[in-house]
Amino acid sequence: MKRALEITLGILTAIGGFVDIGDLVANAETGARFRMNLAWVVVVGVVGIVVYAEMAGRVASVSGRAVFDLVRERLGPGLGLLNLLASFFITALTLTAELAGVAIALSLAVSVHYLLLVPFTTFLVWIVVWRLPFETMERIFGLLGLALVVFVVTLWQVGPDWGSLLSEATHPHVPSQETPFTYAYYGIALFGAAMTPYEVFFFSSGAVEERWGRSDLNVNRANVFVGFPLGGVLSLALMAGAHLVLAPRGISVDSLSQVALPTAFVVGKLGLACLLVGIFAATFGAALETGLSAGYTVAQYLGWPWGKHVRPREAARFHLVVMVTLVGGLLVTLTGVDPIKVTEYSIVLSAAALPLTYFPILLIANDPGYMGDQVNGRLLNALAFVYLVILTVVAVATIPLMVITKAGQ
Amino acid sequence: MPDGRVLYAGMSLLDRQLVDRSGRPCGNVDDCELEEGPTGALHVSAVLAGPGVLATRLGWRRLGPWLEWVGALVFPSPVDRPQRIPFSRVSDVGSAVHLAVDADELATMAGERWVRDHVIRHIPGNGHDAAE
Amino acid sequence: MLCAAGAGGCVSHPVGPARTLTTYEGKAVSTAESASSAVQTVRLAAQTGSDGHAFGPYLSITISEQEDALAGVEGTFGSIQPPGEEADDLRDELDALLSRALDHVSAVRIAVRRGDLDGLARVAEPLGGDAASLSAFAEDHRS
Repeated sequence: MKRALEITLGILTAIGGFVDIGDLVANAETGARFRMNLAWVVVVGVVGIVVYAEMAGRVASVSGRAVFDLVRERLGPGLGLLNLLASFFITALTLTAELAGVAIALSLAVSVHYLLLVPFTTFLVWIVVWRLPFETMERIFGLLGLALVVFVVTLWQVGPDWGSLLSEATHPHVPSQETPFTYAYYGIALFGAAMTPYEVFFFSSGAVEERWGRSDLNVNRANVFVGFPLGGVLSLALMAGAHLVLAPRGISVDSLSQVALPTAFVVGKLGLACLLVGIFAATFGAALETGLSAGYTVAQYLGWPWGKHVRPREAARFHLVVMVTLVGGLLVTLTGVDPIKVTEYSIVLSAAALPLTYFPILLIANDPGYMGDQVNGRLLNALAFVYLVILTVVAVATIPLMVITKAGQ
Repeated sequence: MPDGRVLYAGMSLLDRQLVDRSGRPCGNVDDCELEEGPTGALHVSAVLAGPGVLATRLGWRRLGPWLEWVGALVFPSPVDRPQRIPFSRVSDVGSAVHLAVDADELATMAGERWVRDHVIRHIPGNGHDAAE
Repeated sequence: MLCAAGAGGCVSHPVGPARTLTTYEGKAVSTAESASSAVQTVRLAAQTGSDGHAFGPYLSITISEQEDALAGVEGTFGSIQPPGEEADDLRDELDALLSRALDHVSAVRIAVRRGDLDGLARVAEPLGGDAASLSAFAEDHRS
């Protein structure tokens, strides 16, 4: 059982990365508008994040250094700083939305307006960062987030024609009421959501927090090969559920409450309760991931002591950064800005910043100075390089598409 | 450090993590000081790390010296230029640069101590052991 | 994602004039589609409530959000300057559809807040007609 629990880092990272508030709404909306025609993008994204997260985890295990730690060494301080500023801004933006998401998930259970709950939920997030040991945090939120498997249950209970569902997913086309531009835009959003930079920062920093060493390389692989595909399965189940329940009714998704509707309709109260627990855990996990990543990236660029594996007073500036970012996120949320809109922008902006994150990882994973004999094999390098090309294309296309489609309309 | 080991300072030194003699991270190598040796060849005489050094290296002519000045003001030090770590204090150069000194002696940790004493210390639970 | 009023409660924002009838018609169509989505969501939520498949608090928030969205969409469209008199008929038609839908959605919201979950489907019945009319409107005016 203890061995089985060792994959909770991967599960938590994936759940906070794949089914956080932005992805929940994006996957549901994509299913409602594009049916299964963008399912293949999720699969492509999962393979990409598996490839690079394994590398990031391996780097952390062998060298004892987290990924962002090495960005400055490899890219130089100038590009490293650019990377830091971009990543920090996007991560902080995402954190803002997640804080709202946690409050919204809670509000759906207690029927209090989410803005009244946000200060409380932000405080909870901070308490977990401050006091809860990393491994405990990982176990709790990773496992609770598994409640989202109710998306699969929903799909199962709808009882679709699996054959036609699969055939639709494998023969993608642009639906008649959409344009190739909106199709590409949503495809980019899904891809960016699967490969968000904070996922690798968190995963590799988490590997250092967990003190993974050379003997943990298989644990690293297990985490990656279980966690991220699981996140992908949940995303696809959500997409299919929205396609089958919401699309026929012409329902367009722009709120978290609508994401839960198919499950409530099909499975009933138990399913809804499960889902709300899962959404709460996933958004809370994402808030933890983004909050900690904000601290990790700044501290690692500047060489400060960092992490939950030391006493807070031994990583003072790290904790200060996390606190300031949380407070900033709280204040922005309290202005009443629509958190769904915020996540849309953060997903798309992180797509634009992808190459900056992933290029150094590929470099480091091939450097015998850090990796010894654990450098990448040739096949892996070929695959990783293909992805680097893909994400560069994605990054370049993001902003123009955002302008052309007016952010997906 | 083994005698006569030749390293490319740009690759093996700059921007590397600094680690003190207890293994604590204490900043990055923001810059190096070069000295001309008797043969005319340049060698690294000191590692520079701390407020303002990186800014100066990145070419921000005003910000760098200003940060150094602020650093000296807020964190006064008995030493004239605390950012300067003579190369004799470097015990090893590997994936990180290991120093034979305590982090508390370094300019890079002055900010850390300030935040610790003025912010973190006031929050309950700041000293709890991480691995319960 | 069609812009709808979020849970944060931002209300309709004034939009500039639509220059041609085609542009105006386009905005009318997207308004109708947005409204139809909100109406259908409320219908589905009401059905879910009647089936005993959801909790009061969840339904209350879901339906209120859609009511706000619908009101927002109505307000936004109403603030667009019609390009000319030919557009006035279009405006009146859509306006009537929207305000009728909003009335029906409000009735559902009131019922849910009173805790009458079993009767929700009955209260939401008129929404079927509203959704159909809004969709038909969108179809008719789509270029």
